[in-house]
Amino acid sequence: MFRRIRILFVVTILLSLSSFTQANPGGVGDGVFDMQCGGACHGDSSLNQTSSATISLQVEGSPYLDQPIAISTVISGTQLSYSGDLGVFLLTDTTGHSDTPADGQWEILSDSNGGVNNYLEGKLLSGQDNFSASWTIKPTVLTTTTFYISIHHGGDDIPYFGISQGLDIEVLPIPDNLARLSSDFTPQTTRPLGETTTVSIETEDVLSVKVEWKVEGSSINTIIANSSSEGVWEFIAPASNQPSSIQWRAILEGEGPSQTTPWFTLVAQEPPFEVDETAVYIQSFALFIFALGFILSLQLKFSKNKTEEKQWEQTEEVLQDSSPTAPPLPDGQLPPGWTMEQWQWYGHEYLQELKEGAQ
Amino acid sequence: MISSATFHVISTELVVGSFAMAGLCFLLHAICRYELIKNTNLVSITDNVAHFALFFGIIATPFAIFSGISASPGSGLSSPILVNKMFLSMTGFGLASAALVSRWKMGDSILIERKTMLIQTFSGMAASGIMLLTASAGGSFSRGESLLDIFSLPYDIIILMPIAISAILLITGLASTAVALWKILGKSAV
Repeated sequence: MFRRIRILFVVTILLSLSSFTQANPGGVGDGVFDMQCGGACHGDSSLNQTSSATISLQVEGSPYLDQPIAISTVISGTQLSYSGDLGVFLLTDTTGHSDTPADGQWEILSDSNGGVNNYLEGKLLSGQDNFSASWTIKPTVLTTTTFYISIHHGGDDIPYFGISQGLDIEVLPIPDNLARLSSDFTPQTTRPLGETTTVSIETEDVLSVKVEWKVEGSSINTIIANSSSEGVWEFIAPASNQPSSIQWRAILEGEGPSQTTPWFTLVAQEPPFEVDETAVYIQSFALFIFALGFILSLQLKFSKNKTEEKQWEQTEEVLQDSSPTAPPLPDGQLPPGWTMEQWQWYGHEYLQELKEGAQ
Repeated sequence: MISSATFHVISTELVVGSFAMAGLCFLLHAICRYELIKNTNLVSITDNVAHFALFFGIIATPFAIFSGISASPGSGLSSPILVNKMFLSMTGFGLASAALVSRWKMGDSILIERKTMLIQTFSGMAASGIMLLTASAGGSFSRGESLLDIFSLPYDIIILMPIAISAILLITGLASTAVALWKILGKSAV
């Protein structure tokens, strides 16, 4: 019995584990992943087929040390429409490991989904024939880095993989008096719905800041940023009542060369749902085992009482012993002087004597 | 190879169908026991069908839970509905397992005595109801609507206990389950 239970248990666990190790066609969410997903989209890279999608790669801004530039990509191709879901990586080599921008000494300041991840997920909506993504990154050392865009998507029950041509970016030292963002400037990437947002810009060698912002698909608006303290400038982004994103960039002017920053993305979204997964899993298992134990204990309690009652309950046996079956009456009536109770107990002796007397 | 999402749909349909059948049979069995329906054959039939359907549902439930975690977008628990589904399905799984183990190891005597019969009916029907509630939550998550929306159930509110309380509940459950199984299996040293 226990052997069968053990086999059933092991088979169940093995089958359940298989669902964790296979592909995740629904995606895994944005994150920082190496090219082979780190176990993300496609479980086994040997099963991948080459995607026919076209991947273009573009850089915006001058790659000065500690100054942000934008890398944007447009992915197009009919094969994408089979799946709709798409995963896009920004990578610094094609070895499959240690290939994130951080591994190449680049810091991601923002991505087009409102995070700071090198892997973004998106969906190609019906009627669309291309998908765009962008990252704002900055170099932290003087180096030359080759960037790649890699994509993962599905279609016809086959996982597809694609990678762009490399794009070399050489980091330059900062020219004297260059109007620039402060090296520790980190742009705000998200904000709550329904609230205007004051965006701060920390700068160096800057005398005035003009900000251009736009909502996707609309024209560019220009505003002058106000100086709130030395080297800090602020502008107000209008409130958004629905999840959406605006893009903004600053035109920095000073005594030295002026500079236009890359586009930064500011996403208005509902706060993401967060929960302590360990607590959830422990509580789930606790509910399971408690329900099991509670019902079993109740059943055992009431069944046990019944067993004990039966153990000491002897009434039926006593009654059976104390009331023997009455023998049949001779000629259908009691012998003279007999009561029914006497007949029940001693009638068989009377019949025996009667039988012996007749012989 | 099929995707986690498709496998989840298959396994949940098996779970919901089995548990719905089991729940209906537990209800009919209780009605027969109270002699509201006087049919001795039905007593036996509902007993067998309820517990076999429950067994089948229990086999399919872990697959539904794990494939659901794999199929959900992002991390496994990206929505309060998914957390509630986890709690509901595991509670239903526990109740169903208890009903099945009771019937299996204690025999049909638990369906003759009134108190044990009521406990058995309660655990079986509660397991079925909770599984159907889980399915309804799944419908609300994936399609934005469900038949049980008429009750305006608060799927987006989760009651998450501190880990310490969960641990106490877990230890209590493990202890009571171990003791109960020990006694039911007749291995008590007393």
